[in-house]
Amino acid sequence: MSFDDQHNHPKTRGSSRDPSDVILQIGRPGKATRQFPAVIRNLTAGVASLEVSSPLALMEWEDLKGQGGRLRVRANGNGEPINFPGKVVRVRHFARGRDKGLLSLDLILEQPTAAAQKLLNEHIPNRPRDIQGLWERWDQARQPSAQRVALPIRLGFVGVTLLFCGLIMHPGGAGPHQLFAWIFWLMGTLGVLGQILLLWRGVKDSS
Amino acid sequence: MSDSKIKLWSIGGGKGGIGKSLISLGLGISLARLGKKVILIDGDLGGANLHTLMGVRYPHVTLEHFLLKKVNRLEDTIIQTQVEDIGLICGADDLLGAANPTYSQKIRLLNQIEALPAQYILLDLGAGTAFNLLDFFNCSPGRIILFSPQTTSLQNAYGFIKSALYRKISREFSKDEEIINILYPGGEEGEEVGGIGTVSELLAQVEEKAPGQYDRLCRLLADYHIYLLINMVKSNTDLKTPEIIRSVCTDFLNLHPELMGHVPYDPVIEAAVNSMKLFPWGQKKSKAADALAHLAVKIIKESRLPHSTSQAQVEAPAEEATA
Repeated sequence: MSFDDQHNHPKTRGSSRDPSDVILQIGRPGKATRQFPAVIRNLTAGVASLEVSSPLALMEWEDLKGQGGRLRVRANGNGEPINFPGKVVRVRHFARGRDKGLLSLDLILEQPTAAAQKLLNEHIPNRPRDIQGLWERWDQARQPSAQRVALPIRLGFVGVTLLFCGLIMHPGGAGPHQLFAWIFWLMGTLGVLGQILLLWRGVKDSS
Repeated sequence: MSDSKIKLWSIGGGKGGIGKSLISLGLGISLARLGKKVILIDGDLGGANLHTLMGVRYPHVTLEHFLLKKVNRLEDTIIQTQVEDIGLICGADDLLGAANPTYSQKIRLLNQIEALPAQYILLDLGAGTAFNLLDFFNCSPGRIILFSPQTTSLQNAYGFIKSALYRKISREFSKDEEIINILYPGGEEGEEVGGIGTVSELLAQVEEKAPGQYDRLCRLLADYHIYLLINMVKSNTDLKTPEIIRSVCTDFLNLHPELMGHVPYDPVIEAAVNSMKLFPWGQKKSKAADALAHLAVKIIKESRLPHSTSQAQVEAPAEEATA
């Protein structure tokens, strides 16, 4: 079950979840997939910072960097786990005592949507609720709305189609065909220019 | 002299470098342009630089002189500036403990601020959330939280509001042991507020453990009015940040801050600062100057609106506070 399949996750706030709710699965080419209980320590800019103290992970920690993996979390502590695929981009080993240690990993998420980040945020233990609320709202404000993303694409598609229609009708032709061809070309050009303008504004706003 | 209900406006925001002094100066100049008599006070006791922005390199008298009783009346520390209707009271310069005034010094200062001969007094607060700073902010009937769209500023602005509110509550109920125990179950004030996640939870506990104080606390929250002002706006996304703070304040602090407006990023300001020229004095066309002019009109309008906290009710901190 992927995250996008699950629409109605509960909006719990503030409670620190059982770390065993979060499992990190690491796929290794030609080997069995490993999975370790993990604690989410931070989540920002689409990167989940995790702590793993599993002895098996500690033994193999040098092989983990660069591997594809996924976080499996339960939306409300039970039910079917939701997967958040990503890639391990950083691993550090911290020694603790003689035989214990701790791994700190960064997993860059493939689809760090606002909803995904909200759900993962729920699994960060000991977080102040108000600061969590602040960052959740900030993440949401940075997410471009679906309409805003779709509009330039639609406008560009319509523009290119009109340009193509104008080409078929052949501006060099005679009579009404020539007039329509020029109108299509003009409107198509405006559509493509509009798309460029909207994309430029989007880049400017997000920067 | 005063034709306004709110005379004293504080400009705070927690983070340094977000333009508190520049906005204070810009608002002062814009108010003066509208014919108002303004006094700017550099409330940054320790890192004062408002005078530098006003082109005053060597202030001959500062708040320090007043705090150390070298000058008896606060009015005598006003420096006349290039702008006819603006007087300036320079901040202390980190000497002789002026950055941490004692209780009696604070009382003396607060009592005299309201008596200053001006229609509007703008108090430019320093960075951070030291108790003295929060007390000055809380004692002002007009409270402006300034922040920039930077994430650090956003977090500090919220932190400042939260600290100021909890400070206000703990001062207001300083003699009420039950409320203080709810606020600081672990011990002394000054430690982190423990056990209370939101103001709603605080209200619920007060209603249960100190029902006699419940209405008083509700009234305090309803009267605690603040304005949000965002500076250095570069894009439409930046304009969403006040709504983030507003929404978090509503959900977690039971406060409803009002958006005062925004000031766009304007490179003209940096040029003015570097050449020690007053901004926006003498500026013909500037986005930031236009925005400040609108904000000055809004301040005049808001000053006349009936607010539950009147300027006559400037209260002093109940007891000695340490930062």
